[in-house]
Amino acid sequence: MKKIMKNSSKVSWVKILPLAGVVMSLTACGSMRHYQAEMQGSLQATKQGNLDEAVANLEKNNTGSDKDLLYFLEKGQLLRLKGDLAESVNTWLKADEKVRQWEDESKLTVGKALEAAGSVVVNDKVRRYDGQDYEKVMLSTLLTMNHMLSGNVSGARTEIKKTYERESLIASLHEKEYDKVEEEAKSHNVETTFKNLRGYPVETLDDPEVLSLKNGYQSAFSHYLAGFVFESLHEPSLASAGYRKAIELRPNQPLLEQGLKGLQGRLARKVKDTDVLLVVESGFMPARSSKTIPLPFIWKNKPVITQIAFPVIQPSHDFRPSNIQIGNKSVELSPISNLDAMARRALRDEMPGIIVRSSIRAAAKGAMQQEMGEKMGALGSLAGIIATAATEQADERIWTTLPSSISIARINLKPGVHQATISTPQGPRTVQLSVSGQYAIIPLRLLDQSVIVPTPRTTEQLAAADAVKSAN
Amino acid sequence: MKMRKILSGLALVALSCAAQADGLESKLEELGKMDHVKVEAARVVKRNELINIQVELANDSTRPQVVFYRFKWLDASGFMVGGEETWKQVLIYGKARQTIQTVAPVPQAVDFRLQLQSPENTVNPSN
Amino acid sequence: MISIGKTSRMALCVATFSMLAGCAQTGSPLIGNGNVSYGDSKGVELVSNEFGSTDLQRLAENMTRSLVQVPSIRGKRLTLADVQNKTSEYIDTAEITKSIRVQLMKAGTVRFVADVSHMEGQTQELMRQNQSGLYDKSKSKKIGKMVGADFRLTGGISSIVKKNSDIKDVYYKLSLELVDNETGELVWADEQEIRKTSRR
Repeated sequence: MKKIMKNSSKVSWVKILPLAGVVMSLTACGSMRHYQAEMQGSLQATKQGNLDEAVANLEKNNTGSDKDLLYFLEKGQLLRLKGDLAESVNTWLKADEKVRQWEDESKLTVGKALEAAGSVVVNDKVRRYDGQDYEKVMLSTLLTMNHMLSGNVSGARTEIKKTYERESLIASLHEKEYDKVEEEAKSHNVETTFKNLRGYPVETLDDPEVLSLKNGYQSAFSHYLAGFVFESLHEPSLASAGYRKAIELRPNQPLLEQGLKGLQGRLARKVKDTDVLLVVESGFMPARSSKTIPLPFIWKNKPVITQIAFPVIQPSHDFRPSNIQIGNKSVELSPISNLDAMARRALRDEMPGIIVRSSIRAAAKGAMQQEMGEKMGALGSLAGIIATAATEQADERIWTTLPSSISIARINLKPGVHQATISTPQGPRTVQLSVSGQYAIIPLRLLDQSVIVPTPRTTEQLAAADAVKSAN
Repeated sequence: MKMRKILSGLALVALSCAAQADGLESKLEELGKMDHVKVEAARVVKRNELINIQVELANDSTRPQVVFYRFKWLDASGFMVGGEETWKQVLIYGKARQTIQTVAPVPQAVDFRLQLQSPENTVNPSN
Repeated sequence: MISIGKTSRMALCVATFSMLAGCAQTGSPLIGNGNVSYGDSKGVELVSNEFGSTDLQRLAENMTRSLVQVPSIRGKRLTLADVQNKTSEYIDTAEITKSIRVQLMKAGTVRFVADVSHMEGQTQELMRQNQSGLYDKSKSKKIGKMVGADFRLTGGISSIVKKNSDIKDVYYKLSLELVDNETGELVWADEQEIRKTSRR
């Protein structure tokens, strides 16, 4: 009798040991970065307009030598708002390098979404952050604006060309990825619609603003900007393509339609005025959070339930101004890109893939829980549950300093300095706009209490500004 | 060799002439023997100082065939003129005949070579 | 006799040398690991069904061949005017007309004069030579000697795109026309079509 007992206990330990290993590795991975919490400090400082503090905060959280894509994206944006356009361009070009690396890899291996093995076992956070597709498009769009502001027209042309080339690569990848997800779903017998997830805030993804978009990566603003850049270079054949694409993505906007219709006339005109494109960026990207939802599956002919986390994006209700006062003229602002809706659209399109991955993961985790329960009794089951709870958290990484919406206006102004008044959540603010050249782009970033007009500054100006700050 | 001379001579004289399919061989550069597509006939005419060419291709299989082709243009001393042409793709339906027409890019061109490639071909090692 | 002996001995030498070195291959003047290579710039490119390099080359080539046959333009002066892009793709139509210009210049049958995009550079150059006071008056190019074009080349490219769940079909049509600048007459017009179909 005793002998048999000993033997059986030995056998079970041998079986359990590798399982314990899995638990340990799972919990180890659970201690991953909490991006939203990490960015909180920087984001608050940015909203208050304390950009130096925001940069310092960002640096504090990224001390390692191996910086990731998000660091460069956020830092470039902060530097741009600070007015250090040259350094902002450099930083964003480093981010661009990372995106190019992703491009090269994705050209070779299609269907990466399902290849990330770590994600199947643990969760989506383990995957290298390759950037959301709309973030990649916005990166080169913002780089184009930086180049235009610094007077580097050929640089702007390169970047805007990159924007739509990247967009078409993303489109071709998506086509293949969706097919692959569908195949995978069929082979695993998984339902891919998010509407069956009990307790998931379905309304965030079924928002009419989300549904009206064609996809989550094409931004009407990027294409309108392409139109504007090519028009300023007197390349009507490319400019018309940009304006036309913008109209397709955002129909029934008189300003966009005027962009295409008036193109020939504007190119032929001989006036001394500057054609100004005002770009009003407002709000901040809504945070990604996770919601844990019980997923049922069948294990050894028994129904089992595991907890799986799904990403949720709650819509931002940021303040959006409807017009801007220039001199004594009120100019209407046309909303052109809603990045918040784009992020949710991207998530909506990504959901089938996430569900397939999660279901496979749920099965793996549930099986582990059950097996531990059987082998080690209540204690083992508990260990399993802890492991799943610790590792379950959806990917909440997102480029947080992007505006949640972009509106534009286009007017002819006499070269020189103009007074512009625009309302912010804390009341109207007045800024100086300096206008020169035949075509000009002027971005205005709305923060909680102030408005920033990123303009190129010389190194002396930047040093002077620093000196003033340190004197205070 | 003889045939080639005669043919280029004909082109030079610029008379409207129909070349027989077998005499055409010296003008053709097939990249591997095409299994299903045959060059049936070619016509060479000089109009407005430029030679005009019409080549007829026939597909003897019942399936549609894809053929890639391009012309090389040679001047009186046999040098290539007019730069390299781009490859063109033509679709010939099953049992159909397809005509390809072209004009020399420059007046100096007096002779031509037609490069042909069909994805369905065999290379005969004894040739 | 001696010379023959010499050469045969030399041949033997060469033969032994080449036998010794027989296994080695001559290295190519190539730098890199072979993952990158040059392709045929004139090959048929079908990477995606968007407007591509082969379409540009084909349209330009066919249009040139058609244009070069018009007898009334021999020896005349042409300019490139705007070719409108009516598709929603980013197609640089100026590149098509520029290719046509290069091929026509090679044929040597027509001449091209400064078009709108060259005007700024041209006027600047003339101003510099004549008004900067830095040039020898007798050797500077005179203002008022520029020659006008007899014809201008203009047109447009349009597309029709149809998509369903497994096929995407794109149809492009480039139409070009040659207008007599004096009379406004249409001297020549032609159109080229391209159809590209892809299975998804």
